[in-house]
This record gives sequence, C-alpha cells and structure tokens, in this order.
Amino acid sequence: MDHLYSYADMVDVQATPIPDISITLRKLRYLSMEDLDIDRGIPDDETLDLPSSPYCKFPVFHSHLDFILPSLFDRLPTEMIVMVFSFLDISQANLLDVNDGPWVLTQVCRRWRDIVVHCPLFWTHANLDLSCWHFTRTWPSSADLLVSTFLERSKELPLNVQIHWSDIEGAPNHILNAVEHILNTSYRWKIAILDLHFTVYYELSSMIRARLPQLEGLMLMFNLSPKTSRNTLPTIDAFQYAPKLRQVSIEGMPCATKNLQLPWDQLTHLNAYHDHPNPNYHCLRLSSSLVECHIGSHGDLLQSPKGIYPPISLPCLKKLFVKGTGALVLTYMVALNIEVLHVTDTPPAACSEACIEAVQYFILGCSESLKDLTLHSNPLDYRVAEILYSTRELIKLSLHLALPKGSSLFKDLLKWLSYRDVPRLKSSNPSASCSSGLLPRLESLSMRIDPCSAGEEALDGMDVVALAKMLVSRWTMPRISESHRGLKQLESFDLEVLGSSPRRAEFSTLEALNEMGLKTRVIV
Amino acid sequence: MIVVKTSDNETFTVDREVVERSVLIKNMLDDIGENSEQAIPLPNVNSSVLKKVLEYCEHHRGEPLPAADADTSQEDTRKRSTDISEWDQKFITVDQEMLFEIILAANYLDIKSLLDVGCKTVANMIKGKTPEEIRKLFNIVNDFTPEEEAQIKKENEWAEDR
Repeated sequence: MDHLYSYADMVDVQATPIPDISITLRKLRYLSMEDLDIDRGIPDDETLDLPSSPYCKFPVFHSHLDFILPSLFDRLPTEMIVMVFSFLDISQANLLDVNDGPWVLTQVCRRWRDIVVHCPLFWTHANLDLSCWHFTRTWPSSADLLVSTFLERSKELPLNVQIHWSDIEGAPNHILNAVEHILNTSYRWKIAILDLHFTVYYELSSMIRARLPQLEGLMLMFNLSPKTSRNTLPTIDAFQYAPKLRQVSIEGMPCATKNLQLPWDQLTHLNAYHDHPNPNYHCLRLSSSLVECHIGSHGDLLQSPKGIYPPISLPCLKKLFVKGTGALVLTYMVALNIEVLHVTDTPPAACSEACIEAVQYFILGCSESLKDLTLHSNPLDYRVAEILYSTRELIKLSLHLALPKGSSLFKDLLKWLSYRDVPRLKSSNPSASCSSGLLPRLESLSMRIDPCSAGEEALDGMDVVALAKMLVSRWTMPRISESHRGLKQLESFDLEVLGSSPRRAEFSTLEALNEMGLKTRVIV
Repeated sequence: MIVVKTSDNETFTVDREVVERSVLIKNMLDDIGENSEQAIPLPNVNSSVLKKVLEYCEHHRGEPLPAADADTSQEDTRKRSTDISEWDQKFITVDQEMLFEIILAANYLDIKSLLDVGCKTVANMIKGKTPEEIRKLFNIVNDFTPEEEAQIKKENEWAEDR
C-alpha cells in the first residue's frame, strides 16, 4: 500500500485557519489580572479589535475566567491539533455512533469542529456496523443522513470501508439507503471489508461492478447458512474488475472458485479459510503471483471428480501460513523460493499423519530456500526428524509437539538436534558436516509441548537433562570444536509447556542457560 | 560542546550529539560551521522547558533519527500507534502546561520523536471521553453558535433510537 496523504495535505488550511480568537487569547495569557478591565468585562486594548472579529458574537465571552484561563489547546497551531487527533484510533469507530470516532471531536468546540469537519482524513474510515442493531432492535432514526454527512466530509479521498450486515431481516428503508450510499462510493474504495448476508453479494454486481479502480485490499465474509445448497449458488462477479487489487481475504467461500470471480492472477496476498481444503486448492491454482498466503480449513480434502489434482506452481511465494487441514493442499504445491512456512493447528491422529506427509513432500521441493519453519505434529511423528534432515538452510524453527504417552520419539528428536562431537572433517563446508548435527544454520529454536491429548504422563518422556545437553551442544560446539566451526551457534531457545505440570521447577532450571549466554525463556 | 541560549537568557552547554537531535539546531550548526563559539539563540523556548527537552535528547542520544518524511507518509490513522515507551511515559508525566510547552518546543526545535510522544500523550488523554469531559479536562469553552448547536443536535437525533 503506497502513498498516502500527509496530514498537512489533508488539512484544508484555508478552511481551518487558527481562529483570531485563539491568537488573541494567546496574547492574553501573559496578562496579569490588573491588565484586565474587570468592570468592562473585556481586557485592555489588546482585545479592542474583537468586536470587529466575526467571532465576537459567539458565546465564548461568557465570563472573565474565559480570558484568564484559556485552554492550552489555543496555543497549538491547527496542524498540531490535527497531529494529536491523528493519534486517536478512529478506524474502528462505528459510523452510526455519534459518541465515537470523529463525531465526538466535532462536539467539543468551534475550533475542533472546524478542524475535524474540514479535514477529510478523519472521515475516510466508513465503518457501517449494523450487527449490533439486530440484537438490540434499536435502529438509529436516520442512518442514511449520518452516512451521507460522513461521506460528504470525506471529500473525494480514498475510503476504507467496512460493512457488517449479516442479518438483513427487518431493516428499515433508511438502513437500506445508508448501505446504498456507501456502495455508491465503491469507485473510492481502497480497502473494503464486507461481512454481509450472502444474498446481498448477488445484489452488489449491479451497483459496484467495474467501479473498483482504487481497491487494493478486499476481505469477504460470506455468511452462508449450513443448509444452503452451494452448488446452486449463482456467481458473484462484483469484484472481478479491480486493477489494483492485490490482497484478498475470504472466509467461508461458496464452493470453489467458480462461484466467485476475482482477478486471481494479480493477487500477491491471499488469506482464505474454508470448511474443507478444496477451495484453497482452487484459489491457489488461479493465483500464480502470490507472495504471501494464509490458508486454512478444518475438513478433509475431497476427491476431485476429475481424478488427481494437477500440481500448482507458485514461483513468487515467499511466505506460507497453513492452518488445520489446509496442509493437505501442500501435496499439490510447488514453491521453490519459499522462505517462511508455518504449519499450525494440525488436527490429531490420522489427519495429522496425512498433513505431516504433505508438509514433508512440500518441503522437499523448497529445502534450499526455507529459512523459517513452524511445525505442528499432533502426535509427534517420526517424519518430523525426516523433515528437519531436509531443511539445511533453516535459521528459525518452532515446533509445536503433542507428546504421545510412552514414546521415545522426543528423546530421539533431541539426539538428532544435538551437535555431535565427531572426528575433524576435512571440509569446513557446513553442507558437508551433516554428521556433526542437523540444521547447521539454526539460530532460534522454540518448542511448545502439549501433553493434553495423552495426559500429563506424556511429559515423563520429556527428558529435561537431555534437552539441556542438546542446547548446550548447539551453543558451545561451534566455538570449541574445529569440526563445528562452519556451523551456526544457537542464539535463543523458548520452551512453553501447556497445561499444569508438577515438573514446573525442573523445566525452569533451563533458564540457567541464560547465564551461559543462550537467551532462554521458559513458560510452564 | 554547543552553547544554546533560551528566551529567558539562560545558557546551556550541551554535547553536540545531544543537541543535534533537534533538526533546527543541527541545520543551524551546519550553517554557522564547527568553530563558532556563539550561543545559539532559542527565543521560543524558556529554560525550564529546554531542560526537559535536553533530558529527553540525552536519554535518546545515539538513536537513529526518524526520516524527514517518515510520518507524513503514514497511510492512515489506523497505523498510528499511541504506544509510548516506559521511559518516555515517565518523562512526559508532567502538568498540562509543561506538556503543551514541550509539544510546542519539540515542534519549534524539530524533534519529531518528542513531538510524537507529546501528541500521543494528549491523544491518550482524549481517548474514550465525552465532549463534556474533554472540555473540562482541557478547560475548553463550549463556544458553538446556535446554528452549530442545532446541527450537532440534529446529528445526535439521527443516531438516536426511534
């Protein structure tokens, strides 16, 4: 997202001069009580010009105290007041709430009102939140007038729009008009977050189609009822012509991409969460320019009626964040230049195995570029070690592990991760020092241990002494052993053990590694 | 060492590195050259305020200066955090008079980070308050014309329940 408008540019300086009265009051603060003509009710000749000022008729001069104790705000020039206001987070304020957002500032005094009303920057976050009205059944009496006033004050600046309107039943005409007012500004939308009843999306086309020239980011939340037959849904084509659109977030997409037309091939950032991974696959298939992507789902991958899905190549993809069964799509993805891969919330048991397998397969294709990996194995799977063997360039590793009861896999994992003392190697090339230890470039390691599924007994297999030994080996060996010179020294270690553990004190002993120089943080 | 002179004719001798956190003074020093022994006049800042400003500059000595257009290129108000570091928070815990003087001095001396701290502090004081509470806090007079009062009343009515 580029550009933006400086506050100085935003302020219509001619429209918001520092009121003469403020200048006069600034002079007055240096006057003593004797300088004020108490009987006349006005100060000395410093203010003789006041009656000729357009401000003199205003009720500011109610009492002498007004002169003696002017507000400190009167000393600030307009652009600095704008700067103060710019630090107020008004982006999430509901447009219909006059006790929130820019409306409040317009109700304090003339000068503030002048500044805020004439500075369109304060009116660029049009957040029409109609969700609360459903529960209270109390509607504003004239939402359309509030919206039109708000939009008028935004002048022609690009808008960040939010419309939350998932329950459309019983909406009076002025609410419909209010929504229509905002939709009519679609040619100014820069960011749009639409959380609408799904039927409304089909009405949008006629209003905003091909009128999204400035749109850069779009978030769509479809509120499909579980009973809706998705195969019969018509196509949503309102957003297909948006030449600047790069970032899209979709929640609950109506069955695959055929129901939603977007300029997929120009997207660089995609965030998509669905109930099963198939729509994720189709989104990725169409979005070949992605640089960063978040995908997630909670159901199984459905078989394609046309046989096995063809592979998807994403040559620009650098960061990928995968949640739940979204990992199943990785089997079909090739992203040779990926640097960050975070796989979280992997479902337990059989599905986890399939997910880990998919991750393993995917990583084989990008092992040379991957620098940052987060892996969730529930339960801890032997493939985790195999994955780590193939990622030689990794700098940062986070493991979220659910330990199975009675398993020795965790101990094995520690053994694999340790730098081993081996006879001096002929080559100092780290890639040739595989026998000295896994992950030769690793600088940061974090582990999140979850014993929940197997009970606290699962932690019995977690040998804290072995863990400490592994950490010490990664910290000291590159400094003391000739054969480890080319390997990176571990810089930091974080351990989080979920649930309450009676071994709390034992885990906390790891913090002693801080004294050695290894930044260690333990949360039990 | 650099000598600066305040509006109440007090002089301060300060490390160049410290005083150069002010872009105004830095530019002045660049203009007059290294060897000038003349005190730099600061007619818009009095000694008590300058003391506070120098305390801030001393604490932040050596930190990278923000780019000249760093904030003016901000996308929108949403990205403007009101977070203030712990030290800055303690530093700026002063009475309103001093707070506004610091803001004005930071603006005059062109110390962007200090100006931000001051403006954020005032913004935090405004947050969550009603117009009446804001007026009371800052001693602001309700000076609306009857016409403006009527317009505000109308806007409030639009938002009220039927």
